[in-house]
Amino acid sequence: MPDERVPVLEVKNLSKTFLERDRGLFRRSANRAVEDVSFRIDTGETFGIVGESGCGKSTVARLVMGLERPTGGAVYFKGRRIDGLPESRLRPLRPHFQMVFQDSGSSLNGRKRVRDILAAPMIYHGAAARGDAPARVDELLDMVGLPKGVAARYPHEFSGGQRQRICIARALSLNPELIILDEPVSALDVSVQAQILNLLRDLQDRLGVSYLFIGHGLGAVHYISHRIAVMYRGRIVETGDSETLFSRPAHPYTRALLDAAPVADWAARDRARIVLRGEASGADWDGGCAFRGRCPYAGAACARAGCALKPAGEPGHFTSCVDAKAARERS
Amino acid sequence: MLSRRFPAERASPHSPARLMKGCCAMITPILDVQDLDISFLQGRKTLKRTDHVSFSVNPGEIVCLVGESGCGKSITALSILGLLSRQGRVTAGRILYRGRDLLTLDERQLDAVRGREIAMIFQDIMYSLNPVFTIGSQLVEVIRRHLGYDRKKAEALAVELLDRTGLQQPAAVMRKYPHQLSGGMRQRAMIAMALACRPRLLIADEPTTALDVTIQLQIMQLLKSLRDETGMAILLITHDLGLVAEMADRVVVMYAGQCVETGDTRRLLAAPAHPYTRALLQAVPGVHDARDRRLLSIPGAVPEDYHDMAGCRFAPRCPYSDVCGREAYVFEPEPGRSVRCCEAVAGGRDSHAG
Amino acid sequence: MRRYILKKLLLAVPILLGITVIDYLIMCLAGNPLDMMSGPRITQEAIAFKAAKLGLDAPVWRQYVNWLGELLRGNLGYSYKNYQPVSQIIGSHIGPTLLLMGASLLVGLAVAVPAGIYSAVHRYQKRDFAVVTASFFGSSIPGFFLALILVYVFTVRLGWLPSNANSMRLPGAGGSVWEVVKNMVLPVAVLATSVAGSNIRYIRSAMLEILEADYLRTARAKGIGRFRVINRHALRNALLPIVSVIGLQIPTLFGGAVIVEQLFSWPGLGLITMNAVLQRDYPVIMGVCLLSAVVVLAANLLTDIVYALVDPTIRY
Repeated sequence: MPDERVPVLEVKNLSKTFLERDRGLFRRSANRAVEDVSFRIDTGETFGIVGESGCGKSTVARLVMGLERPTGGAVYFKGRRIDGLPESRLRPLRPHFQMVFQDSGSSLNGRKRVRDILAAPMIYHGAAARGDAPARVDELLDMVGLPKGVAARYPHEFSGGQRQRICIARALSLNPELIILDEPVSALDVSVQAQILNLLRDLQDRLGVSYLFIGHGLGAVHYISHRIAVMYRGRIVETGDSETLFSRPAHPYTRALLDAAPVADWAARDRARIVLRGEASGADWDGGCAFRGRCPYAGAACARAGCALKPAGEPGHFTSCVDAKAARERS
Repeated sequence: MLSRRFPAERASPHSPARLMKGCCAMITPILDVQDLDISFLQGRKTLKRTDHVSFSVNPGEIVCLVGESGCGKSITALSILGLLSRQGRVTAGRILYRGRDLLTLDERQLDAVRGREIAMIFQDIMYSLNPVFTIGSQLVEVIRRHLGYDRKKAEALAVELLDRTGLQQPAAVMRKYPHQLSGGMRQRAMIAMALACRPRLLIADEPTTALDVTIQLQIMQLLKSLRDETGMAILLITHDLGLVAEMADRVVVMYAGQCVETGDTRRLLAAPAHPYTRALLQAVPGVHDARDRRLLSIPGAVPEDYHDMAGCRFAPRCPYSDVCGREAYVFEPEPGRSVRCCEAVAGGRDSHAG
Repeated sequence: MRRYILKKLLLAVPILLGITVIDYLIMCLAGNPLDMMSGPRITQEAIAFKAAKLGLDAPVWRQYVNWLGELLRGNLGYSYKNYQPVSQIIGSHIGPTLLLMGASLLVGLAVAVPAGIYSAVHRYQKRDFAVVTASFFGSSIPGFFLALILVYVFTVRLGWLPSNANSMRLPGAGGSVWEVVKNMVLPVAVLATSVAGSNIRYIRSAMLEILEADYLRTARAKGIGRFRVINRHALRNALLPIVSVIGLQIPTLFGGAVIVEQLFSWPGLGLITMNAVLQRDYPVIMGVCLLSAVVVLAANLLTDIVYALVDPTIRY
């Protein structure tokens, strides 16, 4: 019986700094892609990470999957530390956490038929004998809402939405406890996006699988996540229950994101909102709040603020804004 | 209320073209697209990708052409300025710009319109601006071509334009290459380039799809303020219904190469007539939705080979297809709105179901 | 930029060294000049004497080190055959080779670039077809065969052009520029045909890719006219692949020149290299190898520099 108190995934103080050859022959600049990120995901829960380009959310996904080594911090899967494990020790654990990517076209091997794509992980990890594979493949296709007959086709014969279903089926083939989804619906049309989001929710209800859902579309992340973290330039600036976070945001950046997200409602058109100045600059972290260059509420205290998360009033709700209360009052 | 119905046909006084526009006869539209058919050559076959597309844009108005991928909205926009790729051609219809049919113009005459009267900006996928020329030289090029300024005057105007579009240190940006700017800055530079000659109409083909949402807000506010300042009309192509709500005065919804609904944004969002529009609005997840809200997912997918589909193209996926018998025609449920559907489903305010 | 060049130059030295080692090894594998000395009247002592005199009795690596040592002192050695200094031999023959190579490159590109662009702009039409077919012919026809045809037509039948340069005198020695040019036409035609043939298709496909680019659509939308769109926006981007092509041609030309020089008796390096190889004239062979390596590396460096100048997206 699984121990309900041990979170499926726990990330503590995760950091990743990339050294990039930026100038000249030998100098390199440090790119702090992820800085001090911590969160946990419990069984059957969806944790969403939302943020704009360059915020580090994709890097977090890669760190959790073990595709990159962290420069600091740790990743725990069901209590076991998995970051830094050599591939040979990690491999037996891989069936337990799987990943779905944004571009379904390039995630699937165009030269293999669907049935081979879906059967391969099962056969490799010994989850199914070669003879049982076709039956299992049919089962998986049914689970993701694809008709059985398509198993013999090639990926290019499918639409984007269908391909994404195949990717989800592949992820499910090993009965993982956790699926990491990196922008799975960003490249899909609205109607298809709705189908995939509903599918993911249904699968979670049926199978109890947890999700780490990474996206930049606030509506989609809100729909599927129980709890959400907002990232900006490598750091989590706010985290909390998805209800609370979007109705009572405690960080100006979250507020700005909400204001910027277009709403299909005429009444929302002329609402008062924050329009951020400029763009996320490449300036290095200097000990103050990374957001203060664009923040409309920036004050003197912000230059000395760290990026540590502080309670924002409600249980489970944290923010890194030093002036959280004031920010909330303005919203 | 009065609703007229006619089978889809072209060029008659009561043609769908006139009805689809949903505008009062008094204002002459700056752009009037009538019954546009665009076909593409694929191997030996000719595929009709748009069918009787009709809409208009009034001076100073922002009209959104909205639809999912493959519905034909982009090629419609490209055809206005004659920018279709080699395989594409307009096989029927008219595109009237201030009364002149752009399709009858030869390349030289069209060049006089492009960039000067009608300007276009594109989705910036890294290479919408020429990577080997500086921003300044690309701006100066269009200024000198249409306005005939000398180099100094043109450069001064270019700096002014870059400043107007919100770029910091515009003089420095002039000397930069596109790859040295961020996506948002490149889009602003493209907008500056488009506005150089004060066009009356700006066509924007998904200009912010590749940008972060906070940058998108900046760009959209910029476009709105430019419209307010200069009275320029904007035809905005997008797939984002939220953008439609924020930006558009009027909307044109496209599906499978046809216009399925047009009308005033406010009315359309409040009471969408076409089942597709309704379904789309219900499929968009919102940030303030209740936890137990279920997104509507439209069964099936957009037909890939819709080019010779007869009758209503949405019928296979429409929840009301048993009512309508799969026939569709264009009519006005109320003045200023038009729908391509059957009256039983979409006609009249009372027959709106959910 | 300076650092970039410096880095490349620094890298060139070990490369050059490596090339000479490999060249030397292969050369020794191919045979010994002493092997050429065989016959009833040649005694073992004579061979041994010659070997000692030429330093061929030492092990291969010592020979190489000796050669390298001499080289660093600026001495390329002396020909085994006629005891002339290698540097002088090369120096007196390199001019005509460079002239031939340079002219072929220019003519070849002058044909290939416009043809490739023309072909791409009119793609899939009959003219495109014609150009591509011609380029296939140009690149697949063997040099000697084309030379034969040209000699037949222009020397034998029409008598317009000489078929060999044996009687050509250089301007310094009583000849005229016109005479040199007349002798150059046929060999350049042969070399340029192969240059053009292989490059037309490369430039055509580079251009095709450029013609599909988004920025061309943006340029058209500005109303600046089709002419400007192609000849300014597209062409300027086409410079990049053209520049890399030029860099690649030079080593090829160097080799191709050997055959053509033989055929037309053109007094260049090709001629003496062939003879040196056949006679196992080590110093001359090494001298030419070294020169060839230097030329190729220099061509690559130049290409890199020009490329960096022409493409603003390259950071150095």
